[in-house]
Amino acid sequence: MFAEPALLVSRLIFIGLLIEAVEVVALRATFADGGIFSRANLALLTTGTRRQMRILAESGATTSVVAAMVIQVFAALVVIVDGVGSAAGVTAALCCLGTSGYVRSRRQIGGSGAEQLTFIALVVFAMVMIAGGSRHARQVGDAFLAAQVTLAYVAAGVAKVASPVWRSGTAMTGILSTEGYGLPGIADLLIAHPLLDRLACWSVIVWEVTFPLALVAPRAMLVAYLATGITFHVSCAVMMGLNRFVWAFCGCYPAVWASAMLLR
Amino acid sequence: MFVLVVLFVAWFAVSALNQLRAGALTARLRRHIPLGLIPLWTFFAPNPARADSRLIWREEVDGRWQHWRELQLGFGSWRTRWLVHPQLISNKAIADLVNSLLRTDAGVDDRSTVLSSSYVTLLSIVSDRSTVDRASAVQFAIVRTSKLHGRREVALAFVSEAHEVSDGSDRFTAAPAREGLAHVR
Repeated sequence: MFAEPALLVSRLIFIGLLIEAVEVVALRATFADGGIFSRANLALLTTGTRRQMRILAESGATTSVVAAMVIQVFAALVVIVDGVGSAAGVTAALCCLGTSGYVRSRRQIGGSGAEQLTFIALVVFAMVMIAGGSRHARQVGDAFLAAQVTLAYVAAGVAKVASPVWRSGTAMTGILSTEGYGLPGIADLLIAHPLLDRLACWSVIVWEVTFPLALVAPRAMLVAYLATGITFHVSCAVMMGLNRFVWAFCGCYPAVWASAMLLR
Repeated sequence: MFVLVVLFVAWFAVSALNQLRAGALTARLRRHIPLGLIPLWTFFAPNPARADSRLIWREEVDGRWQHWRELQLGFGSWRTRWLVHPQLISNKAIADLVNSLLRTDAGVDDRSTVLSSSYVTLLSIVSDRSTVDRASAVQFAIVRTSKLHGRREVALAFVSEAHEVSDGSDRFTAAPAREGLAHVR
């Protein structure tokens, strides 16, 4: 994704950053005194942690957080329009690293794997730029991101294989029955057809555990793995409300693609 | 370039080791490296969320405990949450605190739970919601709710101590009020 900045798909994680900014602005009241992310609560939450873990955790209330997110909106828009190949795009991407890092530290809790991968991608980009931003440096950055995405899927798949709930094929019914991640219609469907749940659980497990094959398999198989990944993340967004995983993980697929091509 | 490659290899090696959740080195690194740069990728495994954690609390006013109230953060509408889902962040924040609290392996007579950052933060969150000036104490609990096969199930996961609230302030004191610690596992 860094090696081919002209590609539109290389900019997907910045759509995720745009959405993050909108969501944080919607939650702005929670950063004020009395909110769940108030400075007083963050001070309690980070008590006893090391200094580097507390940097900016208590800095700024609603105004600072909103200001950071407004900057993030504009910076993300610049990258979406211009990519990370130009000076403006590079500056804007680094700006997103600053604003996203600030809100991550200021909030400490409530983060997701999507946020984590997006932030890692931004840090990797900064390291690539510090190393000169050459084509080779960008390819190394892509390879690292591809490795992280592969590790994420394999680790998640292995954790599911180790889980009796996932192995029995009842996990999806349970998750979709909750209010937080659920969709009653789908949960009812899975309850009525347990075989569907088992199929869904094992499909996810097999796809996640075998994802490394995508890096070395023939091109058609790579396309199939990535297409399945897009379907999986879009399904999770629609059914479970995990909206930003689409932009974070699918946003790193160009890095998977570029690294797979290098391995051929 | 060489330094960049070495840094990425080291970062990936630590990330991979961290998936095993074992080893003093990775544990130490996690305590030193901020912002979740050492990831743990498990995604709803091994224990998928099959219940919603709800934070409830009550206040003591004029010597009498009021009804339990729930911290309502709302859930995103399925029509919009595929695109924008701010409630996911606030609900996940409470879930993170709850999970951290329930992971604290303290016995019934062990008061170390009360000193955990998650306990104190949850207590602060409910104290901030106190609307009664005359409240003299506050207590919170965590309830897990699920709805499978059309049947709603409610389970009590944790009950905090009752904490006295300072006069004219919504802040609490560390000393417990009259009731003792009650854990429900």
